[in-house]
Amino acid sequence: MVATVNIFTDFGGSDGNPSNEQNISSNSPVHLRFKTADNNTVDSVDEIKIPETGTNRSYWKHVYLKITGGTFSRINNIKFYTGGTNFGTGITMNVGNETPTKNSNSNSGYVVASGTRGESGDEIVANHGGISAKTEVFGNYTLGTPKSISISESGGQLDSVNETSDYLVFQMDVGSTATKADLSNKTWTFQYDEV
Amino acid sequence: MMRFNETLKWLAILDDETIVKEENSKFSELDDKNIKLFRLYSTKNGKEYDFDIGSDRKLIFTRRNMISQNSKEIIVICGWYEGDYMNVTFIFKDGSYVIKEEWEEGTVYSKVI
Repeated sequence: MVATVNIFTDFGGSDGNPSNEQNISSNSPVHLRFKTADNNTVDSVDEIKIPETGTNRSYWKHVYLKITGGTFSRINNIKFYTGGTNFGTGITMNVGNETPTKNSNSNSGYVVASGTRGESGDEIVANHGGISAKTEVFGNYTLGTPKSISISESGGQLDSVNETSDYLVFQMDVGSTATKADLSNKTWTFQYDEV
Repeated sequence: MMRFNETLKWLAILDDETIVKEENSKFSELDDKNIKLFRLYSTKNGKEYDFDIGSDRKLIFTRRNMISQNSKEIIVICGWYEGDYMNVTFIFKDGSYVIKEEWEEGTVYSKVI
């Protein structure tokens, strides 16, 4: 009677053609870790080092909703929001303002993450062709001001298994004022309407 | 354990008294011009919520899902609008509900598209 909806990430491969599509819910208890490598492994490898000056960045991550099963008519009105509390001084989590195209037939909005593994990812606005601006997530996207996620499936809604939302593209920036730590986990929420 | 609002199913009584149940139909197959009454009923305790629709009112119904780390919350939203007037009930997991006569953007009572 209801859809089974999971949150996925694409990585690897080439522009428009990711080599991996993984359900981040399979990572437990932490679902997503920002790191200086393009993968979906939650571990302490390829950490983001605190720079002496300037900014180090994670590799960016493409995240989206995907219907994996169930019986339903349609899903729309997809939104994303945070709990509003950030990671602290020197650490900024951004999301691209645009939601590049992703659907059950196309990954055309996908741009493979780039950078120097173990050091820093490339900055998202300058290097992701589908992102022209970015916004810090914790201060701007909360329950009261969520970010809408577009849908590029037929009819502008999800009505079949394997259909997806478009991409959200995230990147974490770490500046020289950050304090070395294993940061506490944050909870992000995806909201959608289903009949 | 299923929460109360996850036990709510719908049925529609059409103008010709035909009863259409969620178990056998898709919501998108309903023609709301022909719906006389839309009912939510609990498969757990039989509690019912009736919404008189008729020819002038447009049915509003959705299940609003919020998924985050290892948890999922659902709010069942049901009601109608007629011209500029609306009456929509938001039913929460514990069975409590709130009735709204206008959408409140920036809250869980935001508009159903």
